[in-house]
Amino acid sequence: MIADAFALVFQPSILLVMAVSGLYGLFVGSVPGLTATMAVALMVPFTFYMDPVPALAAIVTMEAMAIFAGDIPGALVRIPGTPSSAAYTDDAYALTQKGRAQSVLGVCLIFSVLGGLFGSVVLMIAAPLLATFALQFTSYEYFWLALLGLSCAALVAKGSPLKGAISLGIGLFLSTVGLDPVDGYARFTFGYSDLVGGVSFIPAMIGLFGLSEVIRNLLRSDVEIRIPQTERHGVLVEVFRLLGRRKKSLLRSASLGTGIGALPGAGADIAAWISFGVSKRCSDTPEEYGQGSLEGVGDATAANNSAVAGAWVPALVFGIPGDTVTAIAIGVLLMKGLQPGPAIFERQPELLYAVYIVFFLANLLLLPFGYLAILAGRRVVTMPRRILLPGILLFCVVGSFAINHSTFDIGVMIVMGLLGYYLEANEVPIGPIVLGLVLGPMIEHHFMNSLIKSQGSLAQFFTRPVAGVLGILCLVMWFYPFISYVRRWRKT
Amino acid sequence: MRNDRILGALVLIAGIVLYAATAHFPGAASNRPGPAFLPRVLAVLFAVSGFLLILYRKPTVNDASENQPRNRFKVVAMIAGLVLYSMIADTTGFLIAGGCLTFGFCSLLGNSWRVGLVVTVVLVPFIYTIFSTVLGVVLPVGWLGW
Repeated sequence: MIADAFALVFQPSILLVMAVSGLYGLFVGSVPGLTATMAVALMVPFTFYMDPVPALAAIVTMEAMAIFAGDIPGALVRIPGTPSSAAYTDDAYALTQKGRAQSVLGVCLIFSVLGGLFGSVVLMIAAPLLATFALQFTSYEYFWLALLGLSCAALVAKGSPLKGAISLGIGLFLSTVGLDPVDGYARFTFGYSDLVGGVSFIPAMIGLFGLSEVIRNLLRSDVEIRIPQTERHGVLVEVFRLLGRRKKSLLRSASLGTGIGALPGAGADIAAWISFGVSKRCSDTPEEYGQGSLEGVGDATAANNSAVAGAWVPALVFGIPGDTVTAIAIGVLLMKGLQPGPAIFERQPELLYAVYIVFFLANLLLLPFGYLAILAGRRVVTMPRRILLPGILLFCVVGSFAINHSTFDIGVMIVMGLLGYYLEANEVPIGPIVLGLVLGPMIEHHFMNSLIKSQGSLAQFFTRPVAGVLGILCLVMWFYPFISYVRRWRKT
Repeated sequence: MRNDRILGALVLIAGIVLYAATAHFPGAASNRPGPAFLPRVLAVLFAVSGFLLILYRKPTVNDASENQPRNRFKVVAMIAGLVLYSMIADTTGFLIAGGCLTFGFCSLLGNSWRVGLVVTVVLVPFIYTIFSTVLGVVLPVGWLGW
């Protein structure tokens, strides 16, 4: 089985796909203002034409590279390349101003690789164990699990939980467009036959993350980018010195990152913020944090790369995405007729092993590719946006059209782009929309099925032990903000 | 620009409209709710969230560069270009419609016509080759016949 998985991955075509998507991830991550999620959304039309293994390999490699590459503009010009680098951008840039850009980028590279490898080990161990347990789940457990994932996405997402809930509601609403899963009644199609099958996933993703990014860049007045001078010694000189002192903290940050990554809606950026905060609290020199702490940068960057693998644990085991990128990846698998979940561990174990191998390989590839990216970083970071944006726009248009050969989908992309821009301008996170869109049909299907099985009785949702625990967890999660508000109010 | 009052009002209205739109949906069966169930739950969620957002709104924040009429014009022109592309692409074909879109967008971004021409001549055939030749996607053919 493992040999089959190796044979699946170590094919020239798949290695080429990984190399190309890795370079693409490094490029997008290095350009300020372009996010890893946008890169994945633009890549989806390509993955649609690939087999599942190369498609997943492309997404995993691209994301791992982009998350690291986001550190490059953060350190060189104080503009994080992706939101995951925002937590330690000030520290990285402060070190660059002190002439230590090579050292800080070297630390980012090696700690990212180690964090990513740690996350891959956890994924490999935790996913099969959880899958054995998940095989006993019925529609009741899946309903609660999906609801718990959605609730988590709204509450844990950046910014206000209220705005997270609105974003989630929009995603769920979009998932109701088209034929209803039980009765086959056409909902919100407004007479358009293109909407009977639902809102097309790929144009929606491209609009939300690609076109909205183009709009944001258009509205931003260009600022000249200048990079401070850097030291002349090699990239890795300070890394090994720091590694010797920070083995335990690296382990702590990587564990934290993997755990947070596995929470639906949390993702790599929250993992980096929390890890940076914990690192400061545990440090002997907390006064350096914010002024240029190499330790803080290392810990946070290890956490955001380990979170990438962490997000795949619930995605593979339960079909519940841990972050926006895994939500898109689940969408890709569903389009290919593959339903992530415990059954896939029994029916197609070679696919799972292939995913583990891809994770290890992507993180190992990051070493040479990342090193080259650091050397080329100055040129990429200062690349003019007015040359890049036309390419992104044309990719958005062709990518939206490609799946169904329909200009209607370009319209969907435009609407979703404007919606994504408006929501982000109002500090509404757009990640939960994707989770809502992916998990909406699952929730509705399992809810209806459970009710049919129980003859309309809601009590059955709590009688099975796991379903009962998940249900109570869900209720606690919803009511906790109100309870804590009342407690604070009574105290004051 | 962040304006919680407008966002809250829009979400509240969306909730009311969504609820009203489900009025003609088939009713519930004896053992399960009908197709209107989830949309109505969402309508209530929108209405309550919109109301709470108006109630607990944060101060409005204006972004100077977003408010510049020149930058706003660029967005409107780009959207108009995209709509025009989707209207003419089937007739003219991808190469002509995509070329016009790319060249127009380059000009909108402040590139000189020479740079715009180079970007268009390089980019459009490149994307055509990737999608049409490598991935086998049938892009609109139109006047040129390929």
